[in-house]
Amino acid sequence: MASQLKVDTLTGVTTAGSIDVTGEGNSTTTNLQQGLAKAFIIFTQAATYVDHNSFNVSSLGDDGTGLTTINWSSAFSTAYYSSTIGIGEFGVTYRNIPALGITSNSSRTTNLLKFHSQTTGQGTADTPDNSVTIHGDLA
Amino acid sequence: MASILRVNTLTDASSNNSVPMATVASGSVKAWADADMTGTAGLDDSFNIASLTDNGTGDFTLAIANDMANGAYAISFGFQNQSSNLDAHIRLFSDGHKLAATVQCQKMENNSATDGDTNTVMIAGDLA
Repeated sequence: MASQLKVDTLTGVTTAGSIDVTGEGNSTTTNLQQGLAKAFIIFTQAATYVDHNSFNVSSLGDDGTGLTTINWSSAFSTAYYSSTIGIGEFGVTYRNIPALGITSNSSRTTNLLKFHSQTTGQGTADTPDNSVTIHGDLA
Repeated sequence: MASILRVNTLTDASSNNSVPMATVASGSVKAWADADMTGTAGLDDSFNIASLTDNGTGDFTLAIANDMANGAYAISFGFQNQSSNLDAHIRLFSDGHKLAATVQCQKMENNSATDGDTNTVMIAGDLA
């Protein structure tokens, strides 16, 4: 029988922040909280930044050509979270490569992530349709 | 007391934002990792990853704790550059290294395998 649960908040019984979901194989379970993306954004770097769509992002900071700070609305528990990235096309002549900042460990903290858009042969460049998705532990 | 709720659809109390449980299960990431390959390689944080093996410079294997159903799953990467303006990326090591229980990855900078301090991986697909 089909069923529908109407609820605003799901909370674990044993541990408030831990709910298991049965996986596709009908036996193994996966953790709901750990599997959910905690933040995402699609944005364009330009003279005026454009936040096309986002979740858990409070603001974008322009740190110079190709360099962006993404500030989180709800902070993470540590600076160690999984951040996967995508990038739009800058020009057909160049290969476009996104990165999570440059060198310094300060490029990722509990409150922000620094995004670096680079193009081969051209150094940093403002690019369109950059995307970031975050999985990890919220504070 | 632990409990199991059997339901097909979740909806907020205002009857908006419905999501089928099949979407919750399939749409949830099944594993993620933040790996540091500098010095003694290790996992800074992870979910459903049993271990990391350092296979050499820039080359690492993640063992998945609860296996995927097969090797046909989506994987995506992120990384931090070790210096500016490098041609850098993370890739699957080669064809045949994305398996139900393990995945082998390689960080490259300027066409050379390179150890980095931030290598992130996400896996979406079907659990066994």
